Amino acid sequence: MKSSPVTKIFLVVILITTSGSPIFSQSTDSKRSYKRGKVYLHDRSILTVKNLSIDKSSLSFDYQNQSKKINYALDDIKMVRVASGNYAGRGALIGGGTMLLASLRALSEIQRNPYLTTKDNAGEIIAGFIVGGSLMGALIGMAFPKWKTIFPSNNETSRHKRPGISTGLSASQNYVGLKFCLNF
Amino acid sequence: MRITITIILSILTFSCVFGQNCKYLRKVKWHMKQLENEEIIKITKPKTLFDKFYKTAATHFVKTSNGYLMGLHLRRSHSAKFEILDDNPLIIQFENGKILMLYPRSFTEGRFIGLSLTYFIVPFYKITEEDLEVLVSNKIENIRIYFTSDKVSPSNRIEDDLGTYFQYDILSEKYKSNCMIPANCIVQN
Repeated sequence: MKSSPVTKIFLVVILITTSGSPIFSQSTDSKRSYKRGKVYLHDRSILTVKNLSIDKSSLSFDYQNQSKKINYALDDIKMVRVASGNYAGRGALIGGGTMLLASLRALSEIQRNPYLTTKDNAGEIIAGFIVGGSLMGALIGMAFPKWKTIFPSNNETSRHKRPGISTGLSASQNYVGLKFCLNF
Repeated sequence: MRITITIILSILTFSCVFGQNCKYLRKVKWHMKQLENEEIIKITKPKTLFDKFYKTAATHFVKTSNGYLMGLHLRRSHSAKFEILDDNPLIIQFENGKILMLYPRSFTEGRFIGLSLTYFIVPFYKITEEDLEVLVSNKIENIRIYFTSDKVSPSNRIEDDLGTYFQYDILSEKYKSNCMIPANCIVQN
C-alpha cells in the first residue's frame, strides 16, 4: 500500500513527538533549579539559600553572599524546601471579598435609613473599593511564599498521582503500533 | 409514684454523666490533613492541655489501622513560624517524675490564622498502647515541644542536646488530668 505525503508527514510528526517526550522528561528530572530555598541539615540548622540546583545525588546553592557555590551530597541533607509561588491569589480574594462585604453592608444600611441616599457614581466607588482591596490583598499575599518539599521526595506516590500524557512506539515485522496513555 | 420518677431521673443522670466520658469526633477536620490517607477507627475530641491567654494547646488521640497517634493542637499568637520535623520529639513529664518521649509521625508545618498572626500547628505523634497506659494513670506536670525554625528568636526558645524547644508547665489541676479519660477511651474496644 502506498501512503500519501500527508500521511508520511503525520507519521514523522508522531515519531518526533514520541522520541522527544522521553528525552525532554529526562532532562527535567535530572537537574532542577530554584531561586529560593531552605536546606535543613542533620545538625538541625537551617540555611536560607538562593539559586539552588538539585540533581539525583547532590545539591548546590549560593549562601550569604559567598562568592563560591556551596555543594552538598544529598546524604548530608535532611530536607530541602523551595519557594514555589505565593499567596497573592488568596490575598486578592480575601481583600476583594472584605471590601465587597463592607460595600454590601453600607448599601443595606442606606436602604434601611430614609435620610440616606446613594450617590450616582456609587457603583464606580464600590468597584474601586473592591479592586483596591484585591490589589492590597494581593500585595500582602505576595510577601508570603508557599513552600514545597522537594527532598526527600516520595517518587512512587508522585509518579502515580502526577497527571500527564505519555506515548510509546512498538514495532515488529508485521505491524507498527503507537501507544497513547493519559494519566489523570 | 415519686419513687419511680426519682429512680428514672437518677438512671438518666447517671447514664448522661458516664456517656460524656468518651467523646469522639465524627469526621476529620480541615487542620488534620496528615490523617487524610489513614484508615481511622476513632478520634477523641480535643481536650485543653494548657491555656495561657496567647498560647494554647489541646490534645486528642487517634486510633488508626496502623496504630495510635496523639495530636497536639498548638496555637501561639504573635509567633514566628516554626516546623516540627520527624526527629523533633515531644517530651511529657508527669508529676511522679515519669517521662514520656514521643516522635512525630511526619514533617509538620503550621499556618498563620486570624489577624493577630496566630501560628497554628497540629503535629501527630506516634504513641503505643503502653504509652497510653502511662497517660491514663498519671498527671502531667509539663511538656516540651521540640521544633525547628530559623525565625523564632533565641529569647523565646530553649536549647538542649535534642534540639530547640518550647516548655509549658501545666498548672491547672483540671488540665493536668485532661489526657486521662481520652487516653483510656482510645484503647477501649
